[in-house]
Amino acid sequence: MKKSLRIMSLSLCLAFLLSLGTACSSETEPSSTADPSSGNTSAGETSVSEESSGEPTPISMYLVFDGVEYPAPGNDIQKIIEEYTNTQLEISAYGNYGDLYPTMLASGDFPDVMTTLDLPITKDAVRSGMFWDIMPYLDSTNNLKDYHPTTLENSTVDGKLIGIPKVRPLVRRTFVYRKDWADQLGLSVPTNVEEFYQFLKAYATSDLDGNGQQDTYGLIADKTVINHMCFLFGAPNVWEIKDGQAIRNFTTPEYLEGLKFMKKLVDEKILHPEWSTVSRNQFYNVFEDGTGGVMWDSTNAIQMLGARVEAKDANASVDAFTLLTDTKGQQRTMGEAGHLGWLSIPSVVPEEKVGKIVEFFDKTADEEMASLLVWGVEGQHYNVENGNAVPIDEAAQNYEDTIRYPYKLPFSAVNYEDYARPGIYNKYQQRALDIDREMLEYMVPNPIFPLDSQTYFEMGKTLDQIIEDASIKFVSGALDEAGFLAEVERWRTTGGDKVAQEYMDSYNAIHGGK
Amino acid sequence: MARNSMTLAKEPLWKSILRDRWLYVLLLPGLLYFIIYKYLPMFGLIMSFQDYKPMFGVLKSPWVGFKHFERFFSDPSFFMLFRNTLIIAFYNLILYFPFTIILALLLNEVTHMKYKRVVQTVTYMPHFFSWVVIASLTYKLLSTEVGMVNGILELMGYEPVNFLTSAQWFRPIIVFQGIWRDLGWGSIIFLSAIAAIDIQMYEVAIVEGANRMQRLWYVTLPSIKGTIITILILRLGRFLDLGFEQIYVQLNAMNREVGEIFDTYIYTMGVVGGQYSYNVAVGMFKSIIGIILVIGANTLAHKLGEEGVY
Repeated sequence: MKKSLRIMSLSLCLAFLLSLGTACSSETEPSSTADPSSGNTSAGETSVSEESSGEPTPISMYLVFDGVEYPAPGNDIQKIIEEYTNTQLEISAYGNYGDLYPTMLASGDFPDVMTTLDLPITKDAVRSGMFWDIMPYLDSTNNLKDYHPTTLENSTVDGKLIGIPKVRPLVRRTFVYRKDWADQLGLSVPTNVEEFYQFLKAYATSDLDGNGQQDTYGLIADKTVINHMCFLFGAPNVWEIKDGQAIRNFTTPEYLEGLKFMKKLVDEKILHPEWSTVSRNQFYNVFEDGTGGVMWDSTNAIQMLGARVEAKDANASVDAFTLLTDTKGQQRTMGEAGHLGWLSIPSVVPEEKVGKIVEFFDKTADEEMASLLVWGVEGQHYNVENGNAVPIDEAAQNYEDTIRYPYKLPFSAVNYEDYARPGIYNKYQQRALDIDREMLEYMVPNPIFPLDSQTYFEMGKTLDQIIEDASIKFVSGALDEAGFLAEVERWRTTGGDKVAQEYMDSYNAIHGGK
Repeated sequence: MARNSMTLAKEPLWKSILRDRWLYVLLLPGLLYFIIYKYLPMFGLIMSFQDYKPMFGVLKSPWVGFKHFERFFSDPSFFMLFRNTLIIAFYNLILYFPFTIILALLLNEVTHMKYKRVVQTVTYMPHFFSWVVIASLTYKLLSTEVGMVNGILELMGYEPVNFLTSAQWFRPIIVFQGIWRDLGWGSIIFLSAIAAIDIQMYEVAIVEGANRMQRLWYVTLPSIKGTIITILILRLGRFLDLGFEQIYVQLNAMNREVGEIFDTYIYTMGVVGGQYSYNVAVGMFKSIIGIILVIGANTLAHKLGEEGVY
């Protein structure tokens, strides 16, 4: 009780603070009343017009911030952005956004732009009319109209666009490996699961760090690797709609095959033994130290891992492989949501301002702004050689602190690299971009992102926990096959079957199926 | 207190307030604290009878009666949570609580002042460590990869033990951590209670020929009995409040069936999952148990002829 009291009093305080905040901001911008239900009405035509002259539009935002210290308002970069877009930004950035978000949502006092996270409560909020539907505005934009259809589909509730997606590559899972070791052992990049196993085994059984002991692991991965491993054996990308049924990967024989493979890796000490308890961030040290040969991660980690490994050992280098072919010979890769939450506009924001806000994010993708976000300021963060932007190494940290973390990542309204001026990327960055593009055509999307299930909303945590725990226990040997199948059955009866049915109903409602 | 107000009963209330106005002013901050942070938030309890939607607020959200309570009691994990919470709380109570008293008694017998102070400081220092730090220390000591304990076990020719991913070891570790962290802190109040005992009682006991054990048994313990009971009752009120952080950071697939408790469940379901109403309902259930325990213990204390907390 103490806990929930504290949470409630926190929300009260927060609500109080927020109301103070909006009270202040509403002095500068008085008209902010709107009927919540008007969130449905479309207003496409009235939006993006040539009103770029005139008074700058004040826009307040709650953003997710992963950096160290958010730059003060009125810094040079923000001034450039404000001038170009004719706005006046009032940004509140939070490092622990995930913790605060449910409370912020409950407080009911909103900025003009609120970062919304991919949680069931967000869908619930959209359904109750808390945010504007952005879909009608996209057509009249220059850049935002080009979202990948899957990203868009994954961002809708009942056909309404939750907000401007904070885009992220749709496919990004990869295996980062120590290239110097592969060269040393004369190994080529694996193309199927059998070669993958041999590759990992070679790493695990050779004394690669030369300390006379076999203490190197073939693969470092955290527990979220389970879905991918089973996917390699032909299991669905978490869910699959097939023959009029929604099928969760957990219930398929392919999933069990994948788990058996993982168990083999654990038993032969190829997979790092603390895979089920240690988080990915903690594993970075293990990879850096050379205690592991391959790390399962997303493509955007290639650069960071490469830099860390090279800093430790000048002869080391990394590369990544994608392992597209599963044991059934199909070429495929797991599609993800394609976004990391949204930039949503609360329905208390007046209609005429919605267009301007969309216009603002559209403008951040114009070449001039995108170049600023990707490369920084010319002459300060990069030079131009032969028409290509070439980053200045000494300014790299400054770019990270003043542009990438405070503006580029929290906005992410498009993949800014696609809109920025051409330039010379660091070899690891280039590799990541290449992989993201190469893999896209083999994507198998997870079909449930746009679908809904009330049971999942209520019991999802419990149900997912059953799956996770049973899988980990099976791989660790604490559960045999019969025990695992009993857990699958328990998942079904506890609510899994109901969830599947509800997803199917929701799918049929959207696609007009039988 | 009660007797005092009886004698003043003839005087009108406002007169006594006027006379003691400065005392009332002094009371005000405390009163405000309780109203603002303890009573006003209770207004939110009505959320547990609603399907709370942030869009509509507490005033306009639809009423659903006991729906969330029904869901909670029929939740397949209810008994697991109830069992785990009770077991860990019970271990804490029977293992941790007596240790604090014993430590206070032991320290009291130490005559070397410097040594006594050092021991006291060393034992209560861990109280200021956050659980995350303690969990990392535990990891460094017990993990199979970098753990010192497993290193020693291996040197002695034993198989390493998976302390951190085992159902058997979870509760002992949790309880041990709790004792290690809060032992010294918990003993402070008993030490001060012992310090308040009239020294003449000991002198009389010595004259009567009581040895050390007898003095402890017949003088010290009876003198701090009231304190022990008061602290016990207060602890019972927080019986089900196990350290949320402590358990949350150490839960994993292998120990969840013995480790998941109400607090961690509320966090994952209610706070992360945003099920505000359900969250409040579970929290309310927990505090009702707390109230029952306090009232029960207090009544029992009265029956046994003690003062209790009220």
